Amino acid sequence: MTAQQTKRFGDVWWVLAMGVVALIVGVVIEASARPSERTVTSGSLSAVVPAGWLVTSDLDGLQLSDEFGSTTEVSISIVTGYPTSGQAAAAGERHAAQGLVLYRLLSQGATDLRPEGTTLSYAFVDPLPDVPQPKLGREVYWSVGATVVSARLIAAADDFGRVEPVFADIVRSVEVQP
Amino acid sequence: MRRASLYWADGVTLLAIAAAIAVGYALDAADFGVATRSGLGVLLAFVPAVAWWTVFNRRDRAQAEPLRLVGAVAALAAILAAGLGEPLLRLVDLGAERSVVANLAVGILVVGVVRQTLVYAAIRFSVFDSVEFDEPVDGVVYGTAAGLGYATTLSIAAIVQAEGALLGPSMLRVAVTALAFAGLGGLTGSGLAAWKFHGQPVWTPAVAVLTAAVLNGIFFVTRAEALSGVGSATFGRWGSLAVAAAMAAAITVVLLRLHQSRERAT
Repeated sequence: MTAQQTKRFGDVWWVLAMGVVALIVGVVIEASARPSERTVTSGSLSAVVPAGWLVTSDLDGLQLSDEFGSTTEVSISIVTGYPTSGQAAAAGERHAAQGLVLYRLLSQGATDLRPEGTTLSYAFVDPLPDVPQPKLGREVYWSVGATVVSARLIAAADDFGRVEPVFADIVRSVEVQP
Repeated sequence: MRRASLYWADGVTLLAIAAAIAVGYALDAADFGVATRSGLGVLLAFVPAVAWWTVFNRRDRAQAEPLRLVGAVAALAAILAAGLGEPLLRLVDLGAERSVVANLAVGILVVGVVRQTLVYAAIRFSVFDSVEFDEPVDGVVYGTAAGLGYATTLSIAAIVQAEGALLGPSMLRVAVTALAFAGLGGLTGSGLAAWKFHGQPVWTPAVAVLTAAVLNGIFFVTRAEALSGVGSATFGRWGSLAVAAAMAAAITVVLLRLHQSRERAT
């Protein structure tokens, strides 16, 4: 490029330099200010979930999956029929009756995630993928006034440890508007 | 003479925009299908650009800029918006919940800089080196045309995305976008003219683009904040229209006075 051309396009270089610097600073600010979590709602239910998580349905409670797709499923809904203390036992019986492959109840009892909450953990094999996949599930039931809320996590067994703390945070954040 | 033409064009454009808003609200009461509503909305989106150029061209017959050249600058800005600027900005999550300060920083440094740089590019790489860009006021003329071109793309995209729903409020948005981009485009073009005709430093256009980006960010982020306030949406829409009109008028008047005083000085 000749000196004359450099001079002729000198303003372009200044604008480009300004633009690149501004964009870099702006993108860094955008990334650092990006919220790590967001609030999702369905009817009277709301929960705080990681920003990357997806709401796959909000028609009958909240159906969520993690940012990696469908391997992790979380559902939160309002249930009826049993008091809180009976929900976990009823869920265990329901799973057994549904004929989940190799279903095994791992634990059942009280949880400190929600006051007077009950929980159950279980394992089963999901036969739907080409290669049957062992999965772990955890359900938590608790009362909000006269309402019983259910939260369920289903994840691949080898990924369960990673998402269980996230699930616990989601359960703690659930609110039910009267 | 040319300054009077610009003032006339701006004034009549404001009236045309007001008429387009009234038509938009009238169409909201009519029972049209989605395709008809979208089509009418797209047609109305052209009103600010067409009105401005028609009036300016008629008033400025003595030194009229070639119609094709002004149209080409506006079209180039519109194409750059549709093909480069807005697709690039879609990579940034502009709707994310952030603090006002962070929104302002992103609005200025990302959105404002991308849009105003492309308005600059539409002038710089088309008419700037031609014999038609031969006096300081041309910076304001072609800058306004480029700004209106970019704004028209944004307005059409918004109307099509909304499937022509609520044409009245949509026309308010069209008006606000057109007025703001017209003023900011004039500012960007004016920076180029100042460098070319007044012997200003080579970085003057970059400063003009950055200044336009700052005003762009402040205006649109403030508008978004005003519209998101509970119960203030209606006030926010009309208030932002008034602010956009005032901003466009103020920028045009200041720029023309600046050029005038520089011409006297030289």
